[in-house]
Parts: sequence; C-alpha cells; structure tokens
Amino acid sequence: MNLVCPHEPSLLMRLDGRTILVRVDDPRDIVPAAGDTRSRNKLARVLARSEAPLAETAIAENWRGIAVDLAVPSCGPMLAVLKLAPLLRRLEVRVVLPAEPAEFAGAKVLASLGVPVAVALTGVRDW
Amino acid sequence: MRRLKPAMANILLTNRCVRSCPYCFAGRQMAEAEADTHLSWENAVYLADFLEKTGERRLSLLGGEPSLHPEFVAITAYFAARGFNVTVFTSGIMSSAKLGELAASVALLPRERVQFVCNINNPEQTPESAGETERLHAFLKAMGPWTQAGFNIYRTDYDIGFLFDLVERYWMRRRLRLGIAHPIPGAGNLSIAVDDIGKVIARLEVWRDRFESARLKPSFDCGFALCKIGDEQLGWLTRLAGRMEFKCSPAVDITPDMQVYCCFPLAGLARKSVFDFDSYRQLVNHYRDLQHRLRAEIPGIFPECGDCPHHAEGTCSAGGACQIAGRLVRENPGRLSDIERTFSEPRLPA
Repeated sequence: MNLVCPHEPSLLMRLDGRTILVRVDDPRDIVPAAGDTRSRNKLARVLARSEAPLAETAIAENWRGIAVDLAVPSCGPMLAVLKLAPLLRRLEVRVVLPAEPAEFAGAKVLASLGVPVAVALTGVRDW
Repeated sequence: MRRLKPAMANILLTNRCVRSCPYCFAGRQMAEAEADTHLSWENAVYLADFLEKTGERRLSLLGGEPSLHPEFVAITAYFAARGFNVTVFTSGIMSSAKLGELAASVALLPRERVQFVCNINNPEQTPESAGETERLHAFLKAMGPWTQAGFNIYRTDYDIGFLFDLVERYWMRRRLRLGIAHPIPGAGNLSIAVDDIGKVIARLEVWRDRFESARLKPSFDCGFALCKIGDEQLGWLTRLAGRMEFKCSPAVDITPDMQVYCCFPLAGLARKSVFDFDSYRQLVNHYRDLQHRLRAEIPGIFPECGDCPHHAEGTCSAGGACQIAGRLVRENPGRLSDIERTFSEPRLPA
C-alpha cells in the first residue's frame, strides 16, 4: 500500500521501507523531498503544489528521475507554456490543472504536445 | 487511378484585416462573418489532430490579417511544435510588440518550420492604410529571411518593379507568389477578366532581366492559363523557376468558427462545417467533387478549353473553378444553385 505524507524528515524516518508519495508546497522542495524519501523508503511520486501559473513555475532539469505531479492554479500565457513543453516531456512531470473551464484549453494543448496532464476535481461537491 | 495529394489547409485565425485592398477576394466572406471571431485554442488543437490524422504536415495561417489574433504568435508556435510546416500569409502590418514576440519565437525554430508570404501592394498603385509602409519595412527588417513576397494582380498595368528592391534589401526568400485577383459575383472587387490573363502574363517580360539577375523565381497561384503564355516566355520562366503550375485545386479555407469552403472566391458555395467530415482527405475530396461538377458544366474559362490536350492531360486546369462559376452565373443563372442543391443531397456510399 502506498502512503501519502508531507515532506517531514522525522515522519519519513519512521516509515522505513514503505512506498511513499511525498507532498511539498513549493516546487523548490521537490529534489530535497525526493532525496529524503529515498534515503529510507521507496519514492512513488512527489506531489508538488505551485502558487504560480505553470508558465511562471521554475521547472528544473534536476527533477530528472523524479516522478512529479505538479499542481498549478492555471497554465498562464500559452507562448511561455509552449516553450516549457520540451522540458516537461523530458522530465517525468504530470501537470495537474484545476477542473475549471478556463483551464480546459490549456489541458488540451499540453496533452496534444505529449505532456501528461491531469485535471483535479478539487472544489467539486463530494456526493 | 492517380491518388491526389490533399491541398494545403488554410486556417483563418481571424476575420479582421488592417487593409482594405480594392481587389480583396476575401472581403465578402469577412463582411458576412462576425468580425471579432478568433480561432479558439480548442479548435486549433482539433485542427492539428484532424490534419495529422491524414498525414498532412503543412498548413497555412491567414485571415484577414492573422496577426490580429490575440494569440497569433502562440498559435503559430503551437502548430510548429506539433510538427507542421507553417506558412503565414500576412500583410506584415503589426505592432512592434507583436513583431518582437514573433521574431523571438521564430528564431528558435528550424528555418523551414515557419515561413511567411507577405502580400505586398505597390504603394503607388494601391491606396495604403496609415503607417503601412513603415510597418511593412519593420516586418521585413525582422523577418525578411523567412519571408517570400506575394503580389496580387488586379490591373493589367501592374508594376512589380519595387519588389526587387525589397527582396534584395531585406534578404528575402527568392520566390515571388503571383496571384490573379478573381471576381467575386456581386462583390464588386477589382479583378482581372479572363480575356486579360494573356496580357498579365506577357507583362512579366518587362522585369525579365531583374528576375534573372536577382534569381527571383516567380510562381503562379491559381487562375493562370497555360495557353496564354508563349513558348519563349514559358522557357525562360521554367529555366529560372522550374516547372510552372497552371493548377486549381481546393485551397480549403477553414474559418475561425470552423466553417469550411472550397476557397475564398467560392466562399458562398456549398459551405459546410469541419465537424461534418471524418478526415481531412474526405473534406478535400468533397470540394474536389464540387470542382468536378462545375467543370462538367463548363470545362474551362475559354471556349476552346474543352478540346485542349493540356487540359485533358492535367497540365492546365483551364482556369480557376471560381472563374468557371462566374461564367456559369453569367450564362446560366440558377444552374449554380441547382449544382449546390444536388451536391448537398445525401448520396449512396461509394
């Protein structure tokens, strides 16, 4: 069974040998979180949240080898997103967009360029 | 049976334009369309998938003036990122901010991935819009090496002498697209009568030395007729530019709201939606069928076209389908409506 937990080194130490999805609230923490998790556990993915639109999020080459779900509030300017697409394809990043009509076009554009995309149903009424 | 290659799709990004050329053959389509309609991102993705499915790797972006689309640069870059070779038909008239954004984006792409056809009017023969010349020169200064000139002929005393200077000065591509302005029934646009096509072609001789010294290779857009060019003139043109085309095939214009028609001059005829077709090949074949029906009524623009071996062998299309439609309207009013009606009726599958 996979566990989802925040990037908390003391907690990770107590989950020795488990498969972990580790959560971070700042994309700059992706690499340290992956390192801390892998030191004692098996890393499934890093679930990262960015406050900035995708176009303004600093996506780094050193994420290579780390499976990342990158949740962003929006795509931002499409021209900047298009420039990011080759890097996103090289990395193991899945872009997570909110399930809002304004973001559907960006989701389609990214998916059509071969970038993995998910739409998060956050804020949707839970029946 | 020979398999025909689908014609390049023309995608209209917007119906708005910055110029009002007296010969404009898109004017009627633009006047009847909603001015503020722009191609949406969803439809851009749909069209990329639609063309890709048929194996088509080329497309053209046009308008109106395509750079008036708020996301013109991003959409151009998107189609290029999808692997299409994109040709943008533009007047070159755009804001300096948009031009800077365009130049920065295109510079990152392989040279053949995006190119421009800049349709340029002779400023001494055609009224200009405010600031047109300055903006055109700014565009050519930035994008010249990616750009070939286009010139639309709508008067028999046309003058293309000024183009050679632009080509040299801005390191433009050594190709010149020459188009004949076609009459749109009821539109009142200035155009070249079919009887004047010979004069139009013969006039190219005026600039023969300049064509050759600049190594500028002319190419004919639709509507030119092989019989109206002498062997000697055809010889030097072919030696300079390679095989000259005298063809008319569906250009297939796709509007910002995803309507489709055979070409601008036939925009009022048998218009459909892209969503009516399963593939781009099916769409092109649909309009090829329309052209065949028109040509079954009148083989060509001249009475002798029906017996012409060049037409029979496919070397010459015997003029444009729009010119034939125009002749049909004049000679047999109502027949065009009959064709359109029967063309729209469902038929048994092949």
